[in-house]
Amino acid sequence: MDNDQLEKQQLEDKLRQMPKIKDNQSKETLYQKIELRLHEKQEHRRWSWLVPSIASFAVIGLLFLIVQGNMNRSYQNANESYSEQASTEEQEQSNVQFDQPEGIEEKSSLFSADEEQEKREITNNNQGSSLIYYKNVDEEKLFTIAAVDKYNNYAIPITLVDSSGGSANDYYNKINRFIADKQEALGLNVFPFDGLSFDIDVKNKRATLIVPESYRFPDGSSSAYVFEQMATIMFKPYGIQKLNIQSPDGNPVNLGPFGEISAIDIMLEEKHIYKIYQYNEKEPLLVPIKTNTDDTIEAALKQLKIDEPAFDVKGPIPEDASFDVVVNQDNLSLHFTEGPTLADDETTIMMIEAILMTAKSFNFDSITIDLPNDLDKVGKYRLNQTIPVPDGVNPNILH
Amino acid sequence: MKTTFETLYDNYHQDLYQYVFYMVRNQEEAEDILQDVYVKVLKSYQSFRGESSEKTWLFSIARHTTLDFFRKQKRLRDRMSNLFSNDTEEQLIKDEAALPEEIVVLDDQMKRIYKALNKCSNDQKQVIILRYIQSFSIQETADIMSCSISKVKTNQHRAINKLRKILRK
Repeated sequence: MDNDQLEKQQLEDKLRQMPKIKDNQSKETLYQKIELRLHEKQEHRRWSWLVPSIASFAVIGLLFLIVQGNMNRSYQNANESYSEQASTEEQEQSNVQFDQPEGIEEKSSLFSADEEQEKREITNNNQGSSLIYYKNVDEEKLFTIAAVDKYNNYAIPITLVDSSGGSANDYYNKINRFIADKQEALGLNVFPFDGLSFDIDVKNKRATLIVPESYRFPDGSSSAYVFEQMATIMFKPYGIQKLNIQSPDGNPVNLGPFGEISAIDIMLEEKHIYKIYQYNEKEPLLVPIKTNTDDTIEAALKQLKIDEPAFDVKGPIPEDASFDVVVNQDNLSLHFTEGPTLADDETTIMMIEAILMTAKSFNFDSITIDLPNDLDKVGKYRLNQTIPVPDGVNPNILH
Repeated sequence: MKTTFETLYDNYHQDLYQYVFYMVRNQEEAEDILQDVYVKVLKSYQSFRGESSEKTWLFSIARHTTLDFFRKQKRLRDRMSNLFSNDTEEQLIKDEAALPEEIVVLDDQMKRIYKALNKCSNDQKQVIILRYIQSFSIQETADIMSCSISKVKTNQHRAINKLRKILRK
C-alpha cells in the first residue's frame, strides 16, 4: 500500500470512528411536542377556510363599489384617454426597439463611440470562456432565461445570444430546450416549464403566463421562491413590472404554494450580488444572490468574500484580500490594497466578472480595478481603466 | 398514532438524530428538525407503500427536511445580514457554542476532521455521514439521496479528497 492509499485508509477509519451523538430528550417529551404540532396543524386547517372566504366577500364588495363609481366616469373620459394612450404608444414605439431589452438599449447610449469600440474589443477576445457577455453588434439580441441550481435554492440566469432575428416568445417558450443539452455539464436543474406558455409583449412591457388546468406546480415554498427569482431574472431587463398568470380562458390560477393568483410581481428594485456556483467541479456559473434593498455597494462587495459550501457557491473575492471602494457617479472603483492570491489567472478573471455583474445590479455603468501587484491586465480586462458593465451573463451563443 | 411513533422511535430515532445533527451541527436545531420529520412521517405513514425500506424512507424525509431548514436559514440570514458585519464570524460562534459533549472530548485530529466536514458541499457531507458514520451501503445512500450509485461514488471520492486536502494544511 503506497502512502497515498494509506492516508486515505486512515482518514476513512477515522470517519468510521466519529462519535455517536445521542439525543437526550425522552421519548415521551418528544411525542408530546409532536402531538401538539399535529393538533395545531389540524386546528389551523379546520378554520383556514374562514380567512379566504371573508377576504373574498370583502373583495367582491369593494369591486362592486369601484365598478359602480367608475361606470359614469369611464364614459366621460373615454375619448380623452384614447387619444392619450395613442400618443404614448407612438412615443414608446419610437424609443424602444422591438424585442430589445430596455436596460441594454439605455446603457449602450451612455458610452461614447470609442468606449463602445473598446467594449467590443474586450469581448471579441476569447468570449467563449467568459461568464459575462458584451454585445458585438447592435443587431444581436439577448434573451435571458433561467435555470435552477441542484439544491433548488438559487435561480441561475443564462443569456441566449441570437443574431438570427428570433422573437422573445420563440425563446421563452422553449426555455428548457436551450438548457437541456448543457444541464449536465453545468450542474443545473430545469424548472418544469413544460405545458406552460408565455405570451410576451416587449413593446408594451407585458408578460403573461398561461397555465393549463392539468399543470401541477412543484410542491414546497422553495419552489415558489425560486420561481419568483426566475421571473425577475427573465423579465426585469424589459422593465416588465408583473407576470400575469392565467388559465387558457383568462381566469386566475391555483398555482401550488402561491394559492390562487392572477399575477406575481417582478422585483424591479431588487439588487443582487454575484457569486460563483460550481457543482461537483463542473463548469462554473455566476449566480445572483438577493441582498437587502438598502445595502450599500460596499456592504454588498464585502459579502462577495463569503463562501456557501453547503450549496457549492464560492465567494469570488479571496478572503485575504482587502480593498477600498470609491463611487464616482456611475463608475465604481475598487482599489485592492492586499490580495496575495490575485494574479492573471482564471480565478481573478471570475472575480472581476462577478464584480462587474454586481456593479450592474447596483446600477453602475462601469468599474475600475487596480490590484496590489504590477499587473496591467487580467485576462482581457485592463486594470486601472474603465471596464463597462456587461450586457449578459452566463452566455449561451446560439447563432 | 402513538404506537407508530414508538415503533419508529425505538428502531430509528438515535440514527436519525445522529444524521441530522452531523448535518446541522447544533443540538437544538437537530431536535426541531426531527420534530418536523416525525410530523411529516406520521401524517403520511398510511401512504408509505414499501417501495423502499422503512429506514431509507425515513432518512429520505429527514434529508429533505434538513435541506429545507438550510434554505430557510439562508433566507433568514440574508434578511438579517445588515445586523451582522460578518456571517462567517456568526457561524463560528454558533458552531463553538453548540458542540455536544461527544465532540468536545475528541482528540485534536478527530476535531479537525469534524470541522473539515463542514467545508464539504451538502451532497458530499451527506455521503460521508451516510456511508462512514451511519454505515449505509452505496445502494441505500443512493436511495436516500434519490440519485444514482455512480453519483454517490463520485461524491464520496471528491469528499475524501477534499478532506485530505484540508487536513494536510
